[in-house]
Amino acid sequence: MITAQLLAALVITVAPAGLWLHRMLPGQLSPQAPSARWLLLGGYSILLGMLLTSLLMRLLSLLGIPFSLYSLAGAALILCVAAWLLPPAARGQQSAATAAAEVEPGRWQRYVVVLCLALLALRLLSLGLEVSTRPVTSWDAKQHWAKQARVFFELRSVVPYVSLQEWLQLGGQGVYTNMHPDYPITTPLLQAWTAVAIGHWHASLVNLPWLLTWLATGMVFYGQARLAGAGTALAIGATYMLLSMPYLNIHVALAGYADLLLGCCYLAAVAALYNWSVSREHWQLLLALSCGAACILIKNEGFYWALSLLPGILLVLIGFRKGVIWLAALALLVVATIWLIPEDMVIAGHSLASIDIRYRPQSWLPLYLSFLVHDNWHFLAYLALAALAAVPFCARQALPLAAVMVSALLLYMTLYLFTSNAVGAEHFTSLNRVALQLMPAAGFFTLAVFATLVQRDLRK
Amino acid sequence: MPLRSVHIPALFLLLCIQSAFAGADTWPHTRFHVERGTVLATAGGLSLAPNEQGQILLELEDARLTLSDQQRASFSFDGAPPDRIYLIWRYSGSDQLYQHGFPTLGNPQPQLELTGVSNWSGRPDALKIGFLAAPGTQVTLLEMRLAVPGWHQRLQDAVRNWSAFRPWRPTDINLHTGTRELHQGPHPMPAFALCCLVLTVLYGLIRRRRANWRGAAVIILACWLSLDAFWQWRLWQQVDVTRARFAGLDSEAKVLASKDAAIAGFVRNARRHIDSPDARVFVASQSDGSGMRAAYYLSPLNTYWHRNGPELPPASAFQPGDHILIVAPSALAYNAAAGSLRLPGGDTLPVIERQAGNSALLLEVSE
Repeated sequence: MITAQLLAALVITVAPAGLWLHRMLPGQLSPQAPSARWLLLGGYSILLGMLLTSLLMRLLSLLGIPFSLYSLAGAALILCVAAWLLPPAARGQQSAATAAAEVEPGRWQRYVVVLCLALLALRLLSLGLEVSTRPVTSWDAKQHWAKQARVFFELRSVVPYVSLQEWLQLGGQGVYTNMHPDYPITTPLLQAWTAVAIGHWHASLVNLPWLLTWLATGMVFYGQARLAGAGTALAIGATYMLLSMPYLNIHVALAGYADLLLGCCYLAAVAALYNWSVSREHWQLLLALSCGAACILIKNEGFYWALSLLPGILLVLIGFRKGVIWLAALALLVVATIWLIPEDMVIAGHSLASIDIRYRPQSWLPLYLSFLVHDNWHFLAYLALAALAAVPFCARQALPLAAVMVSALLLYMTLYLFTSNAVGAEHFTSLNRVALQLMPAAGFFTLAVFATLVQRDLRK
Repeated sequence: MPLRSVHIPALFLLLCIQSAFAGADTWPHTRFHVERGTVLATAGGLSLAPNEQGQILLELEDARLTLSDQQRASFSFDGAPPDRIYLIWRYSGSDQLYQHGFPTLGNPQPQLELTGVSNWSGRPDALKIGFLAAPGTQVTLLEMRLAVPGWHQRLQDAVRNWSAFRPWRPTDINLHTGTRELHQGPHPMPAFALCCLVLTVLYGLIRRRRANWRGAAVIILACWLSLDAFWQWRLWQQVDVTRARFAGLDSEAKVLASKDAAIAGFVRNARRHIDSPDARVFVASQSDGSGMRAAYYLSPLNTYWHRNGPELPPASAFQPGDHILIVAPSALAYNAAAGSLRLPGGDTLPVIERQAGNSALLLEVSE
């Protein structure tokens, strides 16, 4: 019974986004990569479906309608009908996306594909058993996310959260409180939705969205990798490498944090942005902008990751030379803005006064250890740095993507080297959690550069 | 006999083998004389019970040692090790005793690098080993080893460290080092990254013009797979532990089988005393972990818990009918006879005790 309920919830979650995307995407993205369309569709449907479901839950709360399988199924049905009425993208027209130049995978490439698929299946099984057996374990899940989800589930509605002081002033009437009332509520809504589907709060099964996010990350990555010109073996090998990163797996196994979902969303935005920069197809830009904007719905730092897309978009629209000049001017503008804005003005949950800007060199050692010594990401950091160095010389089409990655990296380094968040680096508490939001995108960037190099080899 | 060129590689090989298996002193459990603690058994290891102070003291009989800070002390225990191990030594002509201790962190094969240990040099007159363990427990020593590890030993240790398993700890959500303990190296990732780089460069040098990026991709994937094997193995072992603990249990039973059992169990019973779904519950504790867990298991009740702040707000914030859940440790003073609770600011609240446990207390604010 629970399985049937969960499957129903999955269909309700994925179907509206899937149908809308199916209507939007061209009929055939690449003749050499027919599977790319379905995996791309699947991955983005899961991701955007989860985000859309959380928005629908907010809407239902505004309208005073309690969450249930029926109310959400009704809302999903309306969206599906609207998608059906939408004129589809021209069918039969092939996407101009760069197709991988391979004709048929060779014998060794087939072995690589089979091996990687087997390893991914093994990983899915081990993570699936862990996450479905273990009750909510991790600190932030209990302190914040799952605690809020439990309230939303029991009340079948979103309720306002205020600061401790405000809660005391209001006597707790009609409001709840926790240590971070300003955090976005997408993650708790997903857990509440899972509980609604099952019919009761289940200490393990409410974590299933994290397994789904892991799957979506892989599907988005593979689909976009194929459109970026990676052959089947290269794409599946890179997908396996991404999905096998220990720290990413830990966030599935010890589910309950919002960072994995944000990492998937940012990857989806960055990958779409890259393929738009190459193919100039509007639907990729739409995906990039949608997923970039959606980052803000997941965690406060999603606002800054969304901003990091702007340099890449600028370079694509106005060219490299003009783009660099504009970016330099924008950087000066940002510095001037920081200089002039009031210290208590809050942007994305933080004010200048609260972040206490000054140089904190003690963060260098944790940064070095986390990326270049510890096994959080296996050796992706080394590969990404090599890819970044290679871009100006032999992968210039990845320059806009490199601009995005460098912007995100600078923002990340600023967070830990110049703000009070440095304590999160010194004690290794938030350092890797925030990095998880960026590393899947870094993996795609590395793959995109590598695919360019491989294509050059094949053209020789 | 003159040294010929053919002898040099052979000599080099011999030196490598010799340095790989550097000399070691190994003492089985039979070589120890017990000075403190009670001998429980001597078959299959020296099983000892600590004294009332939790101490076990062993003297190494007829030890002819040369101490060096290049050495490593290794112990092997059957079952749980003691909490701490002490090396105690004395030189002839002096009454001064030197001591160095280290925690075992639950590792049944603890090792201690003796680099930097003060006065660990020369030939001591006596060497004693001290164990600190909880009274009533049992410690079984199999052997002790003192050796300058060769490269083969170091390689073995590294692989053992990389493949060591321990169940999830709370800090695992923050980082994964690839080793058993946080500050314990060498770490596997740089080793495999270096290996990948060397193999890729060699591939380029050997294949030259025929080298291509697909070949490099195969090398990178192979190195990644090798490194990932340790992680995948660890995940499977963790699944075993998780399933042994939680499989087959319903949602509530899983919580009661977890490390939160005490708090979750108390809260489950305490909720029976909280009638109204609109009730306000204030959680008070000086422990972040205890306060956080109590607030979580009280959900979906409307709770107030101030992390890193005063345990409770001033008395003016309370209304009759509010509940206060106090979880130890707490600085709040509850007077059961007077039915009052002294708050951090010095105010007192009239309260009724609703439920008392070993480390938690539920009170209701009265008129």
